[in-house]
Amino acid sequence: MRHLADGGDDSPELSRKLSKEREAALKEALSSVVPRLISSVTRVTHDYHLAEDITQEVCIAVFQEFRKGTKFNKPVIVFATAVARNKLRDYWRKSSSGERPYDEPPEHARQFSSSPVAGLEYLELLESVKAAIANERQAAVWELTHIWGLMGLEIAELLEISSATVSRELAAAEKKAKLCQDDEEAEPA
Amino acid sequence: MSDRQSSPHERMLAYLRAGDRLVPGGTRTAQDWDSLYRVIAEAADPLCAEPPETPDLSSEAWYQNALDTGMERSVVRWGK
Repeated sequence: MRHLADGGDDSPELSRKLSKEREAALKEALSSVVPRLISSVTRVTHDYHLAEDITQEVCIAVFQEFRKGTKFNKPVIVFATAVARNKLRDYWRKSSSGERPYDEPPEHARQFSSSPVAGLEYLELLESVKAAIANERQAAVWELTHIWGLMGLEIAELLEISSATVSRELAAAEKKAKLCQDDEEAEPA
Repeated sequence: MSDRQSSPHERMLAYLRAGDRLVPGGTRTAQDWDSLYRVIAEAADPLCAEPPETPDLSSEAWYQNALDTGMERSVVRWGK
């Protein structure tokens, strides 16, 4: 069994076939991951079709890990969320530099009409939340909760902290992020 | 409501809620899942797929890979 951080036998002949048990586990993982990812990526991008594309790419990555015999040390949704965020970042980077995402043929190339604006708006909003929170770990907990829809235990696994710390950091993050500019100026020095 | 009267938390949640409305309702049928599985299995075939992505799942990587790092402001200026 290959752990995610370990090496492993990647030979195609050995890894093409999944056992019945692994196939069942993979299908169960995908049925849990797909709706959550489509939902969170659509929330971020305001583009359902892009969310479907990214989710499919993530599913392929999950599938490949199962084929290699990877034993996930963290919940599959944590792996999937990390891959999705990387793919979204790559998508925005490519689209901003004029590259075609996912090697789409020119006639099918995605038109950057609405989602780029949404991407920019999203990044600016995220930046304002992070600036208000002004704490790296608290901002990560806020992002994972509200944007990626991860649960406390999943966040604890990803950030390698306890569930109690997740709850505490989220409360602290929300307290700061919920302050509006008028509140801050009204606070006594 | 102006930016001064709403918090960053409220503004981001309002943005995310607008995205929620774009997700179609309804659930996938068993046939839909089988079809999705076949497409993914084919695309993930090690003989034709690109090398798999193996993300770093450490907590440090999550912080380092934040969307706004490595992505300069100018990178997210679209079109004109």
